Amino acid sequence: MGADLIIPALACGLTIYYLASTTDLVWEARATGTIIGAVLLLLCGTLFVRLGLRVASGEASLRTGGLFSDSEFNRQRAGLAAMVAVYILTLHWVGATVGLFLLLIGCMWLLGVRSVRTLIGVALVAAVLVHLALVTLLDSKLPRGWIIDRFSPTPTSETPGKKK
Amino acid sequence: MKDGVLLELFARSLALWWVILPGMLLGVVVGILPGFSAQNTLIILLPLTLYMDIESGMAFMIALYCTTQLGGGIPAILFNMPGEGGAVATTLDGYPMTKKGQAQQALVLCFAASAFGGLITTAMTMATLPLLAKIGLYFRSVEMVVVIVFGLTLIAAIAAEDLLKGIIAGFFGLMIGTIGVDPVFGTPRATFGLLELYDGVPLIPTLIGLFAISEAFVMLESETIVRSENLTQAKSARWSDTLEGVWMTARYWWQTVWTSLIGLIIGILPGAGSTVAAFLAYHYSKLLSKTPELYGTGHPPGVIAPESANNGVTSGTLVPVFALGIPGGTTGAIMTIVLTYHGIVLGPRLFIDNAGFVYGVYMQMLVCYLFMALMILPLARYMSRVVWIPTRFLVPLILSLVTIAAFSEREYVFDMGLALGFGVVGYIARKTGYEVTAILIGVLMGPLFEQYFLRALRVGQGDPTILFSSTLGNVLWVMVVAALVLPWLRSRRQGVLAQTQRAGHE
Repeated sequence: MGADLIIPALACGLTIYYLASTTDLVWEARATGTIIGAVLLLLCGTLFVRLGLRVASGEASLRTGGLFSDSEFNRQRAGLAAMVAVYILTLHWVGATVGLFLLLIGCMWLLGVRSVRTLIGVALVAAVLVHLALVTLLDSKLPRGWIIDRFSPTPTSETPGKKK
Repeated sequence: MKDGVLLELFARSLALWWVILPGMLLGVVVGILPGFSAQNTLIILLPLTLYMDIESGMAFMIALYCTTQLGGGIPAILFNMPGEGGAVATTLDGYPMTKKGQAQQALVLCFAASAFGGLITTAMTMATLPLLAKIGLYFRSVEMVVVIVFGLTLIAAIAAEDLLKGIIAGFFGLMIGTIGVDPVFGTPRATFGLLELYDGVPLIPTLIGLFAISEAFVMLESETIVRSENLTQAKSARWSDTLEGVWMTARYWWQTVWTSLIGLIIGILPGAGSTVAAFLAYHYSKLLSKTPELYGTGHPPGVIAPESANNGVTSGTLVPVFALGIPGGTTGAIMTIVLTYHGIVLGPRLFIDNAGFVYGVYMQMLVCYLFMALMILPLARYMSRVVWIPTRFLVPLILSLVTIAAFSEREYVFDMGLALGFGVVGYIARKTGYEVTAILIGVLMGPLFEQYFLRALRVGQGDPTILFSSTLGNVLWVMVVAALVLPWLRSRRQGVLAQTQRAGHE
């Protein structure tokens, strides 16, 4: 049952932060959030009491179960999330297309694909299609990165973060 | 209108096939891809539609808008990832059908219900247009607050196994929806000091994270999306399965009719949109069913109801535009711009001065749905094959492509990180029984709720009892309470019956 507390804890955390950071605003600016937050705290309180009663009666424990256990699937999930995070963080330098190619190879390898031809083939086709569709056709402002910029005849893309 | 005139309008609409077909094709693609909405695409293509003559421009926009609703159902059924907000309810039974090896039938149900639902509501709108136009006038800020609370309550009651967890998820979403600058004074609230959150939490990264990324994390636990015991059945799918899907839709024809009418009425209301319509239709379909326990397990009416309703919305969207000159949402606003650019004077006089044009637009919609039924249905067989791909390829492709899609709405790299964050939250929510649908709808409805809530409070000069001051609003409040209490009573009654039966056996 411990894992059941994560979402209410996040909800309560956000509500408390909201209420604490809006104390000096006029009532109209914080009215909606305060009402929603008050109801949310009440609901979470009810859930905590319900879980507490079940734990006290021995029907449930506060362990998180399989959610954070050291299983193969959890390791794969953590690996995938880490690779996506690295992709996002290095996007400016590596670029969306080259980064996507590397990300796909990494993710497929992590999930058990070992054929080099398949790894490179699938990643290359997907990266080229995304580049053609988003960068070439739709003129997306996705960061192009150092390699594409160096070999591309067109000027460097704009800094991402600007609205169209 | 005389039959001869209608036939002439039909023939003129058919002659616009050259803009309707590209509009439909683009609509399917836009619907499938999360991050691309009909509204954004229509805005991008605004110069093109302004350049066209008014008939062709409207036909193109309508074809694109109608098929987007259908397109959103495709990834919802195949991967549990709705391409549009209106397709979120389709995941509830569409994805379980895919897991059972019935992806082809589920897609056919989606396509047929969308096309027939759209056809029915378009015909209905044409017959009752001046009357329907008045409905929107009865829904003011107070009623709209209750409609939003009603929508959220339904989602919590429908989607979650545990009602308390469902409502917590919905309110958590609403709380996330209040992040950003307030609509009155523009002061930032709970933005964590991040400029990227000043406009509020963006919807596309939230949708991508909560649905696509979290589902990809769950998906890797199995070899393919289709359960291994159902893979042979999925691979042996034939044309007869497409016909079976059409037959299923025909069997539930009455369901298609009344759920699409729910969509039509919700479509007329400003801001409510296809998401609320789809959930409302799903809720009532389940409530009135003789087999409510089958909903959520891959039950055909669970796909028909939301898909008919979200296509019913498309007919309703144009009603306030034509009758009052007031667009109910972004799509309506874009169409208003195009119409006024071409000198069409919107409002009640339009039905007297230019009735042929109004009915012509609805005829174009009718033709679009006819094309949809004929052309998209056969594609279901080929589309359903995507789910045979092993997850060791599918998961990396989904993860990487949706991360890039998260960038598309605002072109902020920050949004990609936000999608990943919501992916982790969504994964934890899925594993612990907090319905991600309720969180998403909360985020979606949060700003709208605040807008109507503040407007109602201002009308009532700060007195919250204004929320209980209208008859229609109070009727809706009773429906909110009923939506919460009835499922609880039903499950309690079933529990008592089961206990009695067990006691009888013993």
